[in-house]
Amino acid sequence: MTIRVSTNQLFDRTTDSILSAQARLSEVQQNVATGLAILTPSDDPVGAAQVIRLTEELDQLQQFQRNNNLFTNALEQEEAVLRNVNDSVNRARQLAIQAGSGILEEQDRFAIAIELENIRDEIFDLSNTQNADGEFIFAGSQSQSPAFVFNPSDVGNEFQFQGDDTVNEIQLSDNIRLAAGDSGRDVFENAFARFNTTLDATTAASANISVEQQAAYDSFFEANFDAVTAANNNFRATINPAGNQVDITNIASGTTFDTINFTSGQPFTFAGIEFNVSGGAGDTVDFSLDPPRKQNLAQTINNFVNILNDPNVSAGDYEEALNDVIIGIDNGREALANATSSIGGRLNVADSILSANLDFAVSTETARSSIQDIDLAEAISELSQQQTALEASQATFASVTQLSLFDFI
Amino acid sequence: MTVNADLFTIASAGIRAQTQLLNTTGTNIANVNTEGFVRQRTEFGTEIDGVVDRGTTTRIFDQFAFDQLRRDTSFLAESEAVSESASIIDNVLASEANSISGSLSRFFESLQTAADEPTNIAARQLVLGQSEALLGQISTIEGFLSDREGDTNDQITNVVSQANALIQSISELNQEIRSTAGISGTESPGALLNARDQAILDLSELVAIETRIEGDGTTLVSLNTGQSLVLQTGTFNLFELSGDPDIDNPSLTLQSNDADFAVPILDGSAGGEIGGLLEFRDEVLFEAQRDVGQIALSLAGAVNATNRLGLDFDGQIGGDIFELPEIQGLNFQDNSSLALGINARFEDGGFSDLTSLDYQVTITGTSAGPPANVDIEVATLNPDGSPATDINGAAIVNTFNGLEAAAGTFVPVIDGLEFEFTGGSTYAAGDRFLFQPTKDTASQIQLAISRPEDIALGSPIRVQRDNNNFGDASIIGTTVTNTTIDNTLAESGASAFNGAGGIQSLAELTAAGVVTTVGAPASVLFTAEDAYDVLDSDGNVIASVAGATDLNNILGQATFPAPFAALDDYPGFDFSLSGNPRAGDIFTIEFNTNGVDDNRNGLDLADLQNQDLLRLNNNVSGAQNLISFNEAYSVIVGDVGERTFTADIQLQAATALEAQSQDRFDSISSVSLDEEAANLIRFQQAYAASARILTTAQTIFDTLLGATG
Repeated sequence: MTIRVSTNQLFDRTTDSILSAQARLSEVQQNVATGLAILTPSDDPVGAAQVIRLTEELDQLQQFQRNNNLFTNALEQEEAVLRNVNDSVNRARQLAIQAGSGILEEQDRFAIAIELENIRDEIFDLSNTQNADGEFIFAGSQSQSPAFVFNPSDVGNEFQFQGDDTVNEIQLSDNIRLAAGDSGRDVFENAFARFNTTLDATTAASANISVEQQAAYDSFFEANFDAVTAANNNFRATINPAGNQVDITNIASGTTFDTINFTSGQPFTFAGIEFNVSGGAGDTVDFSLDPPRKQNLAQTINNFVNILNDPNVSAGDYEEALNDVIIGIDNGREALANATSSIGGRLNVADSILSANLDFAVSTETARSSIQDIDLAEAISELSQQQTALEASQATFASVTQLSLFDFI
Repeated sequence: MTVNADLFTIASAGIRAQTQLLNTTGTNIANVNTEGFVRQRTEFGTEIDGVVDRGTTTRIFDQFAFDQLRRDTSFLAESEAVSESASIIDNVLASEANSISGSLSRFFESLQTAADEPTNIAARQLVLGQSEALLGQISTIEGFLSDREGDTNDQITNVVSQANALIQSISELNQEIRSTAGISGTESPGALLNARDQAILDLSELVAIETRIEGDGTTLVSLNTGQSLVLQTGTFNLFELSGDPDIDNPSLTLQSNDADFAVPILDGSAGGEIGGLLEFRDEVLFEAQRDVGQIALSLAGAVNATNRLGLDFDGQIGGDIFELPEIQGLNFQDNSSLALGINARFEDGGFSDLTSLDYQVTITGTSAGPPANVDIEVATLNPDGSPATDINGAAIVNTFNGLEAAAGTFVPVIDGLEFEFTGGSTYAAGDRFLFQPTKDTASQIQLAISRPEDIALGSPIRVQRDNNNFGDASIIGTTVTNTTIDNTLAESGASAFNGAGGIQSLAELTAAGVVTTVGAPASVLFTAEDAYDVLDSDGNVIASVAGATDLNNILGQATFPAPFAALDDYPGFDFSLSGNPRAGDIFTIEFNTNGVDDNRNGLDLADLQNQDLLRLNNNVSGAQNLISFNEAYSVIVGDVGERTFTADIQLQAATALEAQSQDRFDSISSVSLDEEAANLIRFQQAYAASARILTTAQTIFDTLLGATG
């Protein structure tokens, strides 16, 4: 404690206290005016760095919400298209069943053919749906050309997919990306045509075969089809020397699959294939498993339309075509159903991400606010406190400095 | 027995003495507001005959209080310089409008919007706009920081010349004090001492000093660190600023007045305003400049590398989006020839190795070759010029021998930098060059593209499931890691892309002179559920895989034959499957021709925002040491905030200390007007009394004269 107080000290001390009171007041005033507790990073360096990161997170969340809207719009459009396709396909199946009722005249078949043609065209159109930007939504990454083309010269393969399997994903949250569409191949073409068999050669007087029990044939096909070595798909039915049984063997391996009782002219069934053979001991019937083939819905219906429009079609061919179209449509409907349920699933996920992101945004905002925003009540009471301090300093300045001995002499 | 002097003598001496006291009081009152004025006191003694003596006037001065004040003044000035300078940066980084963070977010948002709709040209255009805005923002911040650098250096130059003037004037005042003190009987030269002490106090504001008082009243001044500034013999040493090799950023040396040598002063130790400015410049500013540069360069490098892996809207493999600058090494003055130089540039894909350090390259040997090559030693330096150390505290110095030295040849050397030794073998051992790769280079980054189509949002590869596959395996992901085009496969980094919108076929490779029997992978044929052949476009088997336990990285599981086996990353793409393949299933790999609506690479570009790609600690490498770009910016802001915060606290402490020691000094040496007012009355009364003695003596004398007369 100094005893002697010089005139300079007297002035310096009081001005110092006024200046520092003013500085404090001005800072609190700024806090109140801006509503911010952190005016410069040095006010709270750790907090300032956190605020930067939290702000980035919020910006990202906003972008995710924008992405989510886009994603939902795209999938909802796709869902609507698939719903229409599904309705059309259901109608096509009804018509196919109607066509198989057997009491139809040629005129009736033509009428069915006309309606099926319309359905075929509708499905073709829907598979080439464009979005608002003019992109073909089922064409994969090659979205500027149609997903499917119609090529009338390529008989039996008129409707072809020319897009690709690339599907764009959209970022919906930090870690979740979901496909914002589906490839046309998966939706319209991921359906096997009916598995079938072909009669290759026979020594018998007459022989024909057809798949009558599709489920049995399918399971035999699944188990025995060899995509690598074509020769393994060739089978032979041989009538035994006694003429009362046939052995079914694989030609390449020689393995016997079955031995079945046989009477010439009477049909027998192996693996769902009905054989109608007239022949004697030693006669052989060679048949093979057709390679599996995927066929799009438009194509399946088109093939049937061709048969319906053919006035000279044989009863056998007609029946085969009927089987083809119904199984083709069923397989196609399954692919459609898969795609639709996958879209629904993704939409659900997107919806729950949307609300999770909203929650996350709220909590992030709260966290940021608790760091960077002031407590207004506290700040205002601080403001008036600093104001009082400044007023006190100013008042003491006047009273202290006005005292001078010179005034008394 | 003493004989008293006569009353007249006593009275006149008394009047003289009181006049002297009144003079001193008057001086004190008149100088109450004079800077550096130390109050005076006149003291008298009584001579043997009772007469008041001539008296002496001295300054009321406490050397210890003054020394304390001087030291606290230095500390305060230093703290003020750091705090004021740092808070300017602090304010700018804080402002929303200047934040790089916001620009970064908007840039990545635009990438994501573009990735959402790859065919939307307007969205791509937005990416270009945001890239430009980001570059502009970085340039603004960098420009601001480099303006601060210029200002600070100007300020340092000014302050140094002020300090030199003060040193000179202290030395001159010392001389005068010595010569005045030599004349015996004269009073102590108060005004000169005041002026000298004020000059010392002024100097201590600029730089931290120590003083020593000599017997003859002179004061010797030296720096805190011991180097003399004002010497006994009347000589003195002056500061000098010299920048080698970076003339724009001088460091402080002391130049002796008589001998021709300069003593370097460690920048951190100067104290005072000079020390504060140097500390701010070297530790806050230089670091912030380089950190901002590192973010910009590393980000640009990462965006470029990712864009190069993609397919643009025109169906071409992507190129660089940003053009990174080349850097010239700064020559040291003592190099064998100032015409020789070394250039550096940023290695493609080296963005995660980039540091914010400076590099000093020293030539240790050359060989004429051919080809000419050089041996170098690379020392890493912190932004303030001190050697960077590894985690054990040892300086990081790397040696590289036999580097090819030719104009146009860039050799990858260290931390994502490539050097071009344009001088061939003409360097002399000992030639040194300084590289500051991240300082003031960010603003030189340019947009390399002007067409929105050039943003490579797609992937150059598509893998297709054959339509008639019997199995249900589907493609779950394709990756592209290398798109370097070199159909001769001479470069070890070559990929399978042929540069003509396709994948190398056997014929193409053979035509380019490669000895091989197969081309690049074009399809995969499953021969069993867990075995497959990788085929080229002509159906030749490149490799077979049997017993695959999973279906990830189908091509990566295959062992490629020569000449592919020798390459770093061939074919440069891969894909993974899920589900159950069956024998006979085929997956074809093809160039993504017409694949405009593909965002696979766009998602990767946007994802750079969340990737940890920037090196945090300069002396550590590895993935744990990487942080994201936005986090890096928040680290800069946090760092500068922390420095400013510390400087503020230090300033408050320094202010309190200085106030206290100023208070103590003032309490002893400063004038109190009330005290002087009291003295004035006291001395006035004494004067009147002394005068009364004289009139009394006169009356006595007259009485005596009257009685005798």
